[in-house]
Amino acid sequence: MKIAFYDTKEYDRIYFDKIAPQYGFDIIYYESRLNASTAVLADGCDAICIFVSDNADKETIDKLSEYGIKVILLRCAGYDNVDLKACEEKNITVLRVPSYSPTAVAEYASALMLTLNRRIHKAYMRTREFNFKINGLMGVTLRGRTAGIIGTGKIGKIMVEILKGYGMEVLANDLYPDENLDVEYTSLDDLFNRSDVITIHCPLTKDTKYLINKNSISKMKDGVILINTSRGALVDTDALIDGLVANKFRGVALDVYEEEDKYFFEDKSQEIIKDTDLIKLMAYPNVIVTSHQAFFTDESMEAIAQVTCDNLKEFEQGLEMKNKVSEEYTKK
Amino acid sequence: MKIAFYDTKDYDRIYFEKLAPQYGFELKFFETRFIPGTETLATGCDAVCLFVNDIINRETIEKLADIGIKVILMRCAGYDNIDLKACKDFGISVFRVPSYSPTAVAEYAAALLLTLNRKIHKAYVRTKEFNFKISGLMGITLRGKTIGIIGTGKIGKVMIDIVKGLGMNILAYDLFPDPNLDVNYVSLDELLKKSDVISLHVPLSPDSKYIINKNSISKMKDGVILINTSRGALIDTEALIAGLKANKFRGVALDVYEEEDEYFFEDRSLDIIKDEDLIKLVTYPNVIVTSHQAFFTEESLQAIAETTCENLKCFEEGGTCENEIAYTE
Repeated sequence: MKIAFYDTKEYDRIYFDKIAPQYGFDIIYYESRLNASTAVLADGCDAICIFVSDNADKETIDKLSEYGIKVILLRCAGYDNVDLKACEEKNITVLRVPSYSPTAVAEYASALMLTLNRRIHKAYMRTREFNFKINGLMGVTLRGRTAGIIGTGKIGKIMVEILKGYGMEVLANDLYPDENLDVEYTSLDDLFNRSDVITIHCPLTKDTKYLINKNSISKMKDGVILINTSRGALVDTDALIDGLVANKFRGVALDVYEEEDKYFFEDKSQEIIKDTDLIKLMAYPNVIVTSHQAFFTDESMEAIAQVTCDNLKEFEQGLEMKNKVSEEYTKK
Repeated sequence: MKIAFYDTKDYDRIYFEKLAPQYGFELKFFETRFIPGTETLATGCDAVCLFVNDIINRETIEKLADIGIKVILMRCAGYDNIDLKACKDFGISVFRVPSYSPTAVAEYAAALLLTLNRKIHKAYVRTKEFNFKISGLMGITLRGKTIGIIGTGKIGKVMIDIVKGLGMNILAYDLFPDPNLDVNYVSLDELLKKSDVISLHVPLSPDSKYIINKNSISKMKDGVILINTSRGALIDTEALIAGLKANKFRGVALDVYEEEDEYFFEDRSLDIIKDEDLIKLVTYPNVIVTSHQAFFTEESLQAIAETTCENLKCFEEGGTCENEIAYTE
């Protein structure tokens, strides 16, 4: 099978090149993102492999169909960038990687919490300049403090274990509490009221959009630490900035951002940035913004390549495709 | 009692000023380190409060005695910079804060490990510049990897709890293994050979000096991560740099450095730095150097101020004090 690979980064190549030959797959790598005008690059291929920022809308899919594409391989979990109805009409199968790195994400959330608390991001900037003063770099001891975990799915569960290792009291909130999880479930209000650290691990839905807003921030303790490694739109950026300006937060670490699509994974250092909110977040000393890298470990990349190749193999051999995404599937 | 406080930083002031009035102590803060020539600043005081880098030798001690100082309050644990015999000869009592923050230090060691592994130090520098590329920032998943903990005292024990939470396998080495500790003790060699991460939590002694040297580095796995939050001289810096150049390490995080006395806690950004090793370490992308800040939490500073005041109160009341350091032959 021949795969046209869009939005290729060097790290994608390394992991796919390592295993694709074992499957007999031939991959052509393109740095461009998929859209209606780049669809032609897939001419002559059987499958395309795309990522979160590629655009597989109806127009693009119609063209892909003309070029003979039968499969779209998503090398990520999310599929909101694919018009599933159009795929069905053109008989194009969509396969994804539903879960690849809950551990990597939880470890990263805790890494952000620790970096932020002990101000290592600032310490590093100083020592790089041979400024060895430590004034202002004071943290708090986490042992004995309270962490609130919003969302106790796969990632949240690992986070519970990690935070218990630090000797923190752990509170949790989830629409569907897991009875087998040894943690104190409580209401969101109570979690906001009592937590010294709040970390978000729920998916983005209509219900969770702007979960962190003016009202919820007002319920939080002064000096709270907020960590978001889930989805940007869980946090109302305007309300967050108001809270930061009012000195509400000891620190805020964001690996995701509402408007990240326009910026993340690209080098924008030579451009005039138009997003004033992003500029503010970058300027505040107690904010760390990173570019959606929580998943980014050796093990995750290996898993993504592995599952993606397995997905195509199942399609090729007519086996049951457990990672197939269809309109019907999404209604479940 | 009146205390002359040397080598004052703004954070010292905050915690001591809050507490001293409750004890009826009066504080005089000086920014200068305690070095020969600065003794007279303490004239009229009963005690001096000093820190790790102060010069407390026979000469300065004699001058303190001359102006009527009766107590030296060390606001730290170490006292290798004090001539205890001279203190005894001149009738000056010495107190210290033996333990204030094993949790803070262990949490900081874990913080360095996670920051380094996920390259957040580099990510931050990039995003500050609006460079949102993530190439090169890949880490490893720590769950299931092996960490070797050298030294299982108070700090090492907290570290063990933390890395258990991360789901890591733990190997430990200590000259005096704790039979009550649920951990797999192994030889130093085995620890060096099998660990993906190595974290140092032993005190500095003639036995532990340069415990990380050319020979021990050669036994480590390629791609090992090394964390030192204990004492700089546990590591032979030259051997470390040779290892870094040979791509031995995924990363190295140092909160302490052999020659730190000349640099740490000061802003040297406008000086021509003469220490070539330090220059190298600071420029390597997989090295994080921080300035001995592992202890630096609100809780630690509070504890240091409390214990120091308690020590002086104890002296004032004339009881026996567990934190007094006596001269022994």
